[in-house]
Amino acid sequence: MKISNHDYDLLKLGFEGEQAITNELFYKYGKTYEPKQIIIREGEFGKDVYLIISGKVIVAERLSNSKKYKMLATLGPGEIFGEMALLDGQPRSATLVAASPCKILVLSPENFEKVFKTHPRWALKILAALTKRIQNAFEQIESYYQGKK
Amino acid sequence: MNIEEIKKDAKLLKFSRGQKIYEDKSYLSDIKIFYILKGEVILRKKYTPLVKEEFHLNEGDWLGILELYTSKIRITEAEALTDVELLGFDKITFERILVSNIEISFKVIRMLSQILRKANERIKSLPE
Repeated sequence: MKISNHDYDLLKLGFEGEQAITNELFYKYGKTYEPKQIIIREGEFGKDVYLIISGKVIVAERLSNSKKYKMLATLGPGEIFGEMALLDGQPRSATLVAASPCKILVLSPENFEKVFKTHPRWALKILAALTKRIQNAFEQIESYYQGKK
Repeated sequence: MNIEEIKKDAKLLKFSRGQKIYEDKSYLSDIKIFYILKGEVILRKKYTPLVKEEFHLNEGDWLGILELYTSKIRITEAEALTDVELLGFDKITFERILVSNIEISFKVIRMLSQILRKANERIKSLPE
Protein backbone atom coordinates (compact mmCIF):
# COMPACT_ATOMS: atom_id res chain seq x y z
CA MET A 1 0.00 0.00 0.00
CA LYS A 2 1.26 3.47 -0.80
CA ILE A 3 2.06 5.84 2.04
CA SER A 4 0.11 9.04 1.72
CA ASN A 5 1.81 10.51 4.73
CA HIS A 6 5.39 10.07 3.67
CA ASP A 7 8.75 11.27 4.92
CA TYR A 8 8.68 13.74 2.08
CA ASP A 9 5.42 15.09 3.41
CA LEU A 10 7.51 17.97 4.51
CA LEU A 11 7.19 20.31 7.36
CA LYS A 12 6.06 23.81 6.72
CA LEU A 13 7.70 25.52 9.58
CA GLY A 14 6.40 28.96 8.83
CA PHE A 15 9.72 30.73 9.08
CA GLU A 16 8.34 33.74 7.30
CA GLY A 17 8.73 36.75 9.49
CA GLU A 18 11.17 35.05 11.80
CA GLN A 19 14.72 36.16 12.19
CA ALA A 20 15.94 32.61 11.68
CA ILE A 21 16.55 32.78 7.97
CA THR A 22 19.00 35.55 7.69
CA ASN A 23 21.81 36.44 5.38
CA GLU A 24 24.18 35.40 8.12
CA LEU A 25 22.74 31.86 8.23
CA PHE A 26 22.91 31.58 4.46
CA TYR A 27 26.48 32.84 4.45
CA LYS A 28 27.38 30.09 6.93
CA TYR A 29 25.27 27.16 5.74
CA GLY A 30 23.73 28.10 2.42
CA LYS A 31 24.07 26.41 -0.95
CA THR A 32 22.64 27.35 -4.33
CA TYR A 33 21.26 24.75 -6.71
CA GLU A 34 20.65 25.10 -10.44
CA PRO A 35 17.45 23.86 -12.09
CA LYS A 36 17.45 20.05 -12.54
CA GLN A 37 20.28 19.63 -10.03
CA ILE A 38 19.69 16.70 -7.68
CA ILE A 39 19.79 17.72 -4.02
CA ILE A 40 19.29 14.31 -2.42
CA ARG A 41 18.75 10.86 -3.89
CA GLU A 42 16.30 8.23 -2.72
CA GLY A 43 18.05 5.37 -0.94
CA GLU A 44 21.21 7.30 -0.14
CA PHE A 45 22.40 7.76 3.40
CA GLY A 46 22.93 11.29 4.58
CA LYS A 47 22.43 13.23 7.73
CA ASP A 48 22.05 16.77 6.45
CA VAL A 49 18.76 18.56 6.89
CA TYR A 50 17.65 21.07 4.24
CA LEU A 51 15.74 24.29 4.63
CA ILE A 52 14.54 26.10 1.50
CA ILE A 53 15.10 29.83 1.52
CA SER A 54 14.10 30.54 -2.07
CA GLY A 55 13.18 28.60 -5.19
CA LYS A 56 11.18 25.47 -5.87
CA VAL A 57 12.16 21.87 -5.24
CA ILE A 58 10.51 18.79 -6.76
CA VAL A 59 10.03 15.66 -4.67
CA ALA A 60 10.13 12.52 -6.80
CA GLU A 61 10.00 8.79 -6.24
CA ARG A 62 11.68 6.30 -8.55
CA LEU A 63 9.27 3.85 -10.13
CA SER A 64 10.22 0.29 -9.30
CA ASN A 65 12.31 -1.50 -11.96
CA SER A 66 12.52 1.67 -14.01
CA LYS A 67 14.73 4.69 -14.54
CA LYS A 68 11.65 6.89 -14.52
CA TYR A 69 10.58 9.08 -11.65
CA LYS A 70 7.14 10.04 -10.47
CA MET A 71 6.70 13.60 -9.22
CA LEU A 72 5.07 13.67 -5.81
CA ALA A 73 5.19 17.25 -4.59
CA THR A 74 6.72 20.68 -5.06
CA LEU A 75 8.29 22.50 -2.16
CA GLY A 76 8.95 26.16 -1.63
CA PRO A 77 10.48 28.66 0.75
CA GLY A 78 10.18 27.89 4.46
CA GLU A 79 9.93 24.15 3.97
CA ILE A 80 12.34 21.67 5.52
CA PHE A 81 13.27 18.17 4.42
CA GLY A 82 15.65 15.41 5.43
CA GLU A 83 15.00 15.79 9.12
CA MET A 84 14.16 12.13 9.65
CA ALA A 85 17.47 10.87 8.27
CA LEU A 86 19.21 13.37 10.49
CA LEU A 87 17.50 11.99 13.54
CA ASP A 88 17.34 8.26 12.92
CA GLY A 89 20.01 7.61 10.31
CA GLN A 90 17.71 5.83 7.86
CA PRO A 91 18.15 6.19 4.06
CA ARG A 92 16.44 8.98 2.16
CA SER A 93 12.91 8.09 1.14
CA ALA A 94 12.67 10.32 -1.95
CA THR A 95 14.73 12.18 -4.53
CA LEU A 96 14.70 15.97 -4.44
CA VAL A 97 15.54 18.04 -7.49
CA ALA A 98 15.79 21.81 -7.90
CA ALA A 99 12.98 23.03 -10.16
CA SER A 100 14.33 26.56 -10.31
CA PRO A 101 17.42 28.31 -8.97
CA CYS A 102 17.31 27.53 -5.26
CA LYS A 103 18.91 28.87 -2.13
CA ILE A 104 18.92 26.22 0.58
CA LEU A 105 20.39 25.94 4.06
CA VAL A 106 22.19 22.60 4.32
CA LEU A 107 22.70 21.75 7.95
CA SER A 108 24.88 18.97 9.30
CA PRO A 109 23.71 17.43 12.60
CA GLU A 110 26.15 19.68 14.44
CA ASN A 111 25.01 22.82 12.65
CA PHE A 112 21.36 21.82 12.95
CA GLU A 113 21.93 21.63 16.70
CA LYS A 114 23.67 25.00 16.68
CA VAL A 115 20.80 26.63 14.80
CA PHE A 116 18.31 24.90 17.10
CA LYS A 117 20.07 26.35 20.11
CA THR A 118 19.70 29.79 18.61
CA HIS A 119 16.08 29.16 17.56
CA PRO A 120 14.76 26.61 20.07
CA ARG A 121 11.13 27.18 19.16
CA TRP A 122 11.75 25.39 15.84
CA ALA A 123 11.50 22.18 17.90
CA LEU A 124 7.84 22.87 18.67
CA LYS A 125 7.03 23.31 14.99
CA ILE A 126 8.78 20.10 14.02
CA LEU A 127 7.06 18.30 16.88
CA ALA A 128 3.63 19.52 15.82
CA ALA A 129 4.25 18.50 12.21
CA LEU A 130 5.56 15.06 13.20
CA THR A 131 2.58 14.30 15.45
CA LYS A 132 0.24 15.31 12.63
CA ARG A 133 2.03 12.96 10.24
CA ILE A 134 1.84 10.11 12.76
CA GLN A 135 -1.86 10.69 13.25
CA ASN A 136 -2.38 10.67 9.47
CA ALA A 137 -0.44 7.41 9.22
CA PHE A 138 -2.53 5.83 11.97
CA GLU A 139 -5.74 6.96 10.25
CA GLN A 140 -4.56 5.50 6.94
CA ILE A 141 -3.86 2.13 8.57
CA GLU A 142 -7.18 2.19 10.44
CA SER A 143 -9.05 2.99 7.22
CA TYR A 144 -7.36 0.07 5.51
CA TYR A 145 -8.40 -2.39 8.19
CA GLN A 146 -11.90 -0.96 8.43
CA GLY A 147 -12.25 -1.35 4.67
CA LYS A 148 -11.25 -4.96 4.98
CA LYS A 149 -14.06 -5.74 7.41
CA MET B 1 19.08 17.33 31.58
CA ASN B 2 18.66 18.19 35.23
CA ILE B 3 15.76 16.11 36.56
CA GLU B 4 15.52 18.15 39.74
CA GLU B 5 15.03 21.25 37.65
CA ILE B 6 12.01 19.86 35.78
CA LYS B 7 10.63 18.03 38.82
CA LYS B 8 9.62 21.25 40.49
CA ASP B 9 7.09 21.99 37.72
CA ALA B 10 5.71 18.47 37.60
CA LYS B 11 3.15 16.34 39.35
CA LEU B 12 4.52 13.03 40.63
CA LEU B 13 2.28 10.11 39.63
CA LYS B 14 2.56 6.43 40.52
CA PHE B 15 1.03 3.46 38.71
CA SER B 16 1.15 -0.22 39.52
CA ARG B 17 2.15 -2.90 37.04
CA GLY B 18 -0.69 -3.53 34.58
CA GLN B 19 -2.48 -0.28 35.40
CA LYS B 20 -3.54 1.98 32.53
CA ILE B 21 -1.88 5.39 32.57
CA TYR B 22 -4.39 6.57 30.02
CA GLU B 23 -6.98 4.82 27.85
CA ASP B 24 -7.49 5.07 24.11
CA LYS B 25 -10.28 7.55 23.24
CA SER B 26 -10.22 9.15 26.70
CA TYR B 27 -10.27 12.94 26.90
CA LEU B 28 -7.00 14.70 27.56
CA SER B 29 -6.68 16.07 31.07
CA ASP B 30 -4.64 19.11 32.09
CA ILE B 31 -1.72 16.78 32.65
CA LYS B 32 -1.06 15.66 29.11
CA ILE B 33 2.60 14.71 28.97
CA PHE B 34 4.50 12.23 31.11
CA TYR B 35 8.19 11.68 31.76
CA ILE B 36 9.16 8.18 32.96
CA LEU B 37 11.12 8.57 36.15
CA LYS B 38 11.12 4.88 37.06
CA GLY B 39 9.85 1.72 35.42
CA GLU B 40 8.67 0.67 31.96
CA VAL B 41 5.59 1.55 29.94
CA ILE B 42 3.93 0.09 26.84
CA LEU B 43 2.49 2.63 24.45
CA ARG B 44 -0.10 0.83 22.33
CA LYS B 45 -1.92 1.82 19.14
CA LYS B 46 -4.87 -0.43 18.38
CA TYR B 47 -5.96 -0.37 14.74
CA THR B 48 -8.56 -3.04 15.38
CA PRO B 49 -9.20 -5.21 18.44
CA LEU B 50 -6.71 -7.68 16.97
CA VAL B 51 -4.20 -5.50 15.13
CA LYS B 52 -1.96 -3.26 17.15
CA GLU B 53 1.42 -1.58 17.30
CA GLU B 54 3.38 -1.47 20.56
CA PHE B 55 6.21 0.79 21.61
CA HIS B 56 8.28 -0.09 24.65
CA LEU B 57 9.24 2.97 26.70
CA ASN B 58 11.81 3.13 29.50
CA GLU B 59 13.14 5.49 32.12
CA GLY B 60 13.92 8.83 30.56
CA ASP B 61 11.32 8.46 27.79
CA TRP B 62 8.30 10.70 27.30
CA LEU B 63 4.72 9.72 26.53
CA GLY B 64 1.48 11.49 25.72
CA ILE B 65 2.98 13.67 23.01
CA LEU B 66 1.14 12.12 20.06
CA GLU B 67 -2.09 13.86 20.97
CA LEU B 68 -0.60 17.15 22.10
CA TYR B 69 -1.15 19.10 18.88
CA THR B 70 -3.66 17.02 17.01
CA SER B 71 -6.42 15.76 19.19
CA LYS B 72 -8.56 16.27 22.25
CA ILE B 73 -8.82 12.56 22.83
CA ARG B 74 -6.12 9.94 23.16
CA ILE B 75 -5.34 7.95 20.01
CA THR B 76 -3.17 5.48 21.92
CA GLU B 77 -3.23 3.81 25.31
CA ALA B 78 -0.41 3.62 27.81
CA GLU B 79 0.00 0.79 30.31
CA ALA B 80 2.49 0.33 33.13
CA LEU B 81 4.61 -2.71 32.34
CA THR B 82 6.20 -2.52 35.80
CA ASP B 83 5.45 -0.32 38.77
CA VAL B 84 6.17 3.16 37.44
CA GLU B 85 6.76 6.67 38.65
CA LEU B 86 5.97 9.45 36.23
CA LEU B 87 6.31 13.18 36.16
CA GLY B 88 3.18 14.76 34.66
CA PHE B 89 3.23 18.08 32.82
CA ASP B 90 0.75 20.41 31.21
CA LYS B 91 1.35 21.57 27.64
CA ILE B 92 2.76 24.99 28.49
CA THR B 93 5.28 23.61 30.98
CA PHE B 94 6.31 20.86 28.58
CA GLU B 95 6.92 23.36 25.78
CA ARG B 96 8.94 25.55 28.12
CA ILE B 97 11.08 22.53 29.03
CA LEU B 98 11.57 21.68 25.35
CA VAL B 99 12.59 25.18 24.41
CA SER B 100 15.13 25.38 27.21
CA ASN B 101 16.54 21.83 26.82
CA ILE B 102 17.63 21.03 23.29
CA GLU B 103 18.59 17.47 24.23
CA ILE B 104 15.01 16.78 25.32
CA SER B 105 13.72 18.24 22.03
CA PHE B 106 15.99 15.94 20.06
CA LYS B 107 15.06 12.91 22.15
CA VAL B 108 11.35 13.54 21.65
CA ILE B 109 11.72 14.21 17.92
CA ARG B 110 13.80 11.04 17.54
CA MET B 111 11.16 9.00 19.36
CA LEU B 112 8.35 10.40 17.19
CA SER B 113 10.44 9.79 14.11
CA GLN B 114 10.76 6.11 15.06
CA ILE B 115 7.01 5.80 15.61
CA LEU B 116 6.37 7.34 12.20
CA ARG B 117 8.87 5.01 10.54
CA LYS B 118 7.17 2.01 12.13
CA ALA B 119 3.72 3.18 11.03
CA ASN B 120 5.00 3.83 7.50
CA GLU B 121 6.59 0.38 7.37
CA ARG B 122 3.21 -1.11 8.21
CA ILE B 123 1.52 0.96 5.49
CA LYS B 124 4.10 -0.19 2.94
CA SER B 125 3.45 -3.80 3.91
CA LEU B 126 -0.31 -3.52 3.30
CA PRO B 127 -1.44 -4.81 -0.10
CA GLU B 128 -3.02 -2.34 -2.54
